[in-house]
Parts: sequence; structure tokens; C-alpha cells
Amino acid sequence: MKSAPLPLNESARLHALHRLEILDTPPEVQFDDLARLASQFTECPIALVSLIDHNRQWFKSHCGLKASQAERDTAFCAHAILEPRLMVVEDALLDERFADNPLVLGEPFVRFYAGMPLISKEGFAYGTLCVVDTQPRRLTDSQQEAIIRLARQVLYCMETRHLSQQRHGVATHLARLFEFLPDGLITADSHGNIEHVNSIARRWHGVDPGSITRQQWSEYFELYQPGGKHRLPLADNPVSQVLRGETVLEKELVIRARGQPDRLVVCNGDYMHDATGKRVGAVVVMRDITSQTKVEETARLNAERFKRAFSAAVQGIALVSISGRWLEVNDALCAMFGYTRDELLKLDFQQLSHTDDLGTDLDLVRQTLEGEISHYQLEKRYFKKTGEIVNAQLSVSLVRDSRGLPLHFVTQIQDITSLKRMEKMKDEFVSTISHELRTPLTSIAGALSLIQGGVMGEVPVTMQEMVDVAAHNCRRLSTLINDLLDMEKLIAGKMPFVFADHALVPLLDAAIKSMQSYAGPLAVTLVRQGDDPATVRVDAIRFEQVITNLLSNACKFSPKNSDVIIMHRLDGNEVEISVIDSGSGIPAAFRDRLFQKFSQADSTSIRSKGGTGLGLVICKQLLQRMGGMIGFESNQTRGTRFWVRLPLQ
Amino acid sequence: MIQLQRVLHVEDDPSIRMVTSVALEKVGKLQVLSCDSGQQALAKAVEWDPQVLLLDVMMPVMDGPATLKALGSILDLKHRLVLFMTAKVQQKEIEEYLGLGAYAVIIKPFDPMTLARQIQDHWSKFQQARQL
Repeated sequence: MKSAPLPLNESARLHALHRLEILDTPPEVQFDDLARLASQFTECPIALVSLIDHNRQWFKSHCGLKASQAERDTAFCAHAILEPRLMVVEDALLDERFADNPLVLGEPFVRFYAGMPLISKEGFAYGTLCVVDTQPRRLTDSQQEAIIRLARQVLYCMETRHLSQQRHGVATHLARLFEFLPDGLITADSHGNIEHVNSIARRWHGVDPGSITRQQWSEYFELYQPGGKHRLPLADNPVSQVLRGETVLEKELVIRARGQPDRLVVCNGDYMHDATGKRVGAVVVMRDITSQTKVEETARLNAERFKRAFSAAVQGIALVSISGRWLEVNDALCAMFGYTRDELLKLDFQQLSHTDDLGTDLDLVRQTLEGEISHYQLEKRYFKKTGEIVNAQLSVSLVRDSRGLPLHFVTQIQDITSLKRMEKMKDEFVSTISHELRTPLTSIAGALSLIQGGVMGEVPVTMQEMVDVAAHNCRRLSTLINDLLDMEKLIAGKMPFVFADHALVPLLDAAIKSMQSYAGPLAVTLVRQGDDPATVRVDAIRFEQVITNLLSNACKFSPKNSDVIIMHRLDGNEVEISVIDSGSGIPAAFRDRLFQKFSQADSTSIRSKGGTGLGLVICKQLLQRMGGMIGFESNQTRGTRFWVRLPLQ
Repeated sequence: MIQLQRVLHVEDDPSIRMVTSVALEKVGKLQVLSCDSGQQALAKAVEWDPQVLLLDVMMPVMDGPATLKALGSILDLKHRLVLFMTAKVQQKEIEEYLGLGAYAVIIKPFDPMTLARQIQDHWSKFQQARQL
């Protein structure tokens, strides 16, 4: 026995058959009817709707046969599907294909077979409609025609069934989609009856509104205008709006469902059309924006709070654009400049600035925009609307966006006009005092100098000491006035420093040179040690002032015929300069107050050596301005070492 | 090199006038006309024909700069050495005075023993510069 060869399109055919999802399904009446008709028309006891699977034939309908499937190897239908026409075997015993077929030689003792393949539009033979008899037969033409037609019907039933299943699958899928969409979905028919309410919408309302009457809605939920204070009129219900012909776009409303917090939703809704364009209902989709709104609300409140603080601030505050325009100005600023808010917002700060100060300001603006500095302060002058000048203390910082790009400036402007006036008065006072004090001193010092110089004649020996005392104290007074004025300038921040890089050794030598005439009479020798080259960034004059002060102290407190050593050494990125004397050291009680004003020890011996007690204070301040530090070590036996540290360049 | 002989000194404070005169006449061997104000200087300058003008800066009514300006309208200042005398030593102020026409600034308090020499030094430098 030969099994039927496989059709050429076997794998595609099998694929198509399985897609039908018909194998192993329960019997269906339409197939059974057709099989029966075939059996009756041909007077054959057995009629089958046989489908040829991979390894078997399976019968959707098996009229007259108990089995619901059989092997493919021995199947007559496997042969039938090879050709697209009715296959008739009048006597199986006489057909070499089937003569030794077990189904012929044994149960069910097949002798006659007629099968019409069921071929799909694509050309796949699913199987056959066949009739079988246990005795040899012959079919009439009309019987053959009958089988052919009935086979066509079987095919039709199979395809219809498949289509219907597909449609059902899609419908199920769509229904699932609708139901589980993460937004709320409600549909209504053209009469306004709620048809579908998806899972989310049901949850938000606490009920399926479509399953209860409109009157019952308020038992479960109410709809409100945004804000939750005013009820939403029925006419404003999105579904009603759509059915009236309005498109609902971004409409916000509040759903207050029992047992749930207020929910703010935004609705979009429109008509549903059928294929002819006729309106068949409405669909509304809702999105929960409650938390989004909370975030916006918080932001709005914060903005409100800031705005109020901004307005009410006592200092002038402004937001200024990158190009200098006033973006926002508070009341204090408007009052300061004498403009109304509207007037001020039409201007930029350049227009209000004093020309002399504008250059510096613009330079600092540029540095800030370029990131060289993050903020700055500046004293400058502005013109009020009246033309009067306002002295102001300006503080500016730059606000950048998340990418680091400049957005705008925040500026605080403080009116310091009266402060400035006071300062000016004080400056004039100090200037006058200094002139008034120095003038007579000049005369006294000058006169004594002439006398001491012998210009007025020889000075009698008895007189010399007195003249010396007068001259010495004159110098003391002069130093005191200078120190006081220096101190005042330092405090006011008015001491101008001219910084430059200087080689250290020449500066030290210059200070030593200027102190020689002081050291000589005291029999003190100034010795410089150390030759490491070092460069420091200082104001040369002020630096010399510090060193000469230290030298003068060292000389004052040194025993006769001793040395005062000035040395320096490099220490990392700093240089340490030391002024060392071999005096009797600084008294312990005094050490803590050394750098405080007017803190000379209360000992006549020290007072007689001169000095105002301001010297070291000034030294410390001057050094701080130059980025340096000062300190000392002192010991009764070894003397005192004052050290000065400065950063190296 | 013209020898320096005559100095016009304008200073409102009498003590400083006296000390300066002694310093310049006794120590420096120069001839000095002392004036107590800009106005007095204007009255006597032309006749005195000074080679050096030594002007105090801080004076009432007419200060140093104003006095200089006024003298400039009655004297040809090109060949005369102008020196301001002041207690103010800030660089900015010194530059201002030089800008106004002073050749140099003498700082107060000055040493009367060396004042004359200072002025002589300025005089010779002034002469040299003009001869170039």
C-alpha cells in the first residue's frame, strides 16, 4: 500500500488549516446536516467531513462512522486532496492504490469511495466531503454533482465559521481595551442613554452610572465645576454637550464620589459615527489631573508668597533682564527712583545709572554672565526721575536655568545717600583735623630742626638736651597723628592699596636702609640673612611700613651693641619673614593683647621708649589686606621673633 | 645752567612762612619773597620776577591751584619752576597737582635743613629738561 504523497504546499496548507481553529472542536449542526444530505443523496451509509491534519484525518462530521479520526497513512482523503476534483473509487479492491489498504481488507471494509476536496480561495485543500460504501458502487452524474455542491457548502460553512470567530475575537479584544483603558471612558447612544462605562470611570464615580437611573446618581456622586464649590448643571455634563452637537475640549470638572476625595478630571468628548456618517452616539474620555493640579496650585501659592514678599520688602529689589531692562520692580525701588512701576519697566538700568559708575557696573555684569564671578556688590550712583543723585549699595546675583544659561539678574539696591552724606562730613572733618594738626607740627618740627642744625647759631650744651627732648616728642606726635589717620582709613576701608609683584629681598633692604639712622644711635646693628629669591604681591609702601614698624620695635627693645636679624625662608607656597631681637621678651601678661589697639603694657619703661600702641594693630590690618599674617614668639632669655607670612607668587 | 636765586613763597600760616624763610635764606642762601595769600602774591610777583614758585595748596579764599592759575595770567610760567607744598601724599592727588601745572610736590612736614637742596635738585632737572 502506498500512502498518498504530500501536497506541494503541505506546510502552508497545514498552517491554513490550523488557523481555522476547527480541529478537535465539537460537532456542529451545519456540518452534520450537509454530511447527512450527502449520505442520503448518494445512498451511501457513511459520509464524512474529513480534515487532513499532519498525521491524521480528523472528522468534523462523521455520519455512519463511530470513529472521529483516523490515520493519515491509510486515508483515502489524503489522495483526494491532491487533485482539485472529485475522486471516485468504484471498487477499492480493483484499485492498486487501495487494494491492500487495511480499511479495505479489514474494518470498515471499504469498497466504494467518492470524495470532493474542500479547497480554500488560496488553494489550500483542508480535507474532503466524502461518502463511503462497503460495496462497489457507481455514482450517477447528478449524484456526483450533488457531492460537489455539498462540498462547496461545507467549505462555505467552514469559512463563515472562521470569520465569525475572528470577529468575535476582535470584539472581545476591543471590549477588553475599552474596559481597561487607563483613562475613564463613557459612551452613550444617540438618545443619551449611557451604554458603556469602563472600569476606571466606574471606580471614579463609585458606581456604573449606566446601571442606575439619573435620579439615583446623587446617591453615589455629584459633579462640580472646577474648584468644587458650584454644582455642574446637567446641561454642562460632557455627554449632554456632545449629544447637543458641541465638541467637548479640555473641559475640567470635579467628581465628588462618596468615600473618595474630590477628583479633578479633564474631559474630551465627541460624536461616534456609523459608516454612512450618521451620528450614533457620544464618547467621552476623562483624565485625572488632580495631582497635577495640586503641583500647579502649590507652585502658584509659592509664587504668590514670593510676590508679596517682593512687593513689601523695605529694600529696593528688582529683577533685571540680561540686557538691563527692569523686569520686575518692587514698591521700595520705585519710591527710591521716583518712578511709577509702569514707567520704570520701560527703562533699563543703564539709563538710570551715573555715567561714571556705569563702566564698572557693566564690566561686573559681563564677568557675571561669563561665569567669572557669581555675584557682586558695588557702590554706585543713580539718577532719580527728578535728576537728583541717589547713592546706592548694589548687590547683584545671576539666576540661571536648568541648563546653566543666564535667565535674569536679581538685584538689591539700598539707598545709602544719607550714609554717604555722613561719610562725606566725616571725611571732611578728618581731613580738616589732619591739616589743622599737621600745620603747627610742621612749624614746631621745622623750627627745632633748624635750631638743632645750628642754623640759628651754636646751641649751648645745656640747651641741647631740652631741644632734643622737644624734637623727639614732636616726632612722637607726628607718628601718633599718622597712626590715627592710618587707622581711620583702614577702618573706613579707604586705604588705597596698589598691588604689584615685588622681589622680596630689595623690599627688605629698603626698609633696613630707612631704619639705619634710627638703629645707629641705639647701637643696634641690622643684619639681613637669607638669599632665596621670592616674589610677593603687595603694596610696596604699606609693606615697608610693616617691616619698618617691626624693625623699630626690635631696635627699641634690643640691648645696646646687639643685632637685630631680618631673615626669610620659603615654606611651601608661602614665605616667612622673621625680625628677631635679643631683648628681654614680651611680658606674659601682655602677649594676648599685643595686636589690640592702645594696648601697650602699663609700664613706664616701655612708654618711655615711645610708640603709640597702634603700630602692631595697623601692621596686622595692612598684612591682612595683602593676604598675609603676623605673629610672634617670645622668650625672656632668647628674645622675640616677629614673623610675617605672605603667599608666594 | 642758570643759577637759582629768587623764590616766591605763598603760605597762609605765619610759622611755616618763618621756618621756610630761614631754611631757604640761611641754609639755602636763596632770596625769598614770602606772601601770606594768593592776592598778595599777585600784587608782588611781577616785580619780584621769581624763578621758583613755592605754593602751599591748602589756603583760604585762593588755594594753591587757584593762585597758580591767577599768576599764570600775569607771568609767563614756562621758564619758572612751580612747586606745590602739601600734607596730602596720595598718588592720585599728587598726579592731580602735576596735572595742574606743578613740576613737583614738596611733602609736609618737610625737613628745613634739606628743603633748599630739594628745590635746587628740582631746579637743575627742570633746566636740563627744557634744554633738550
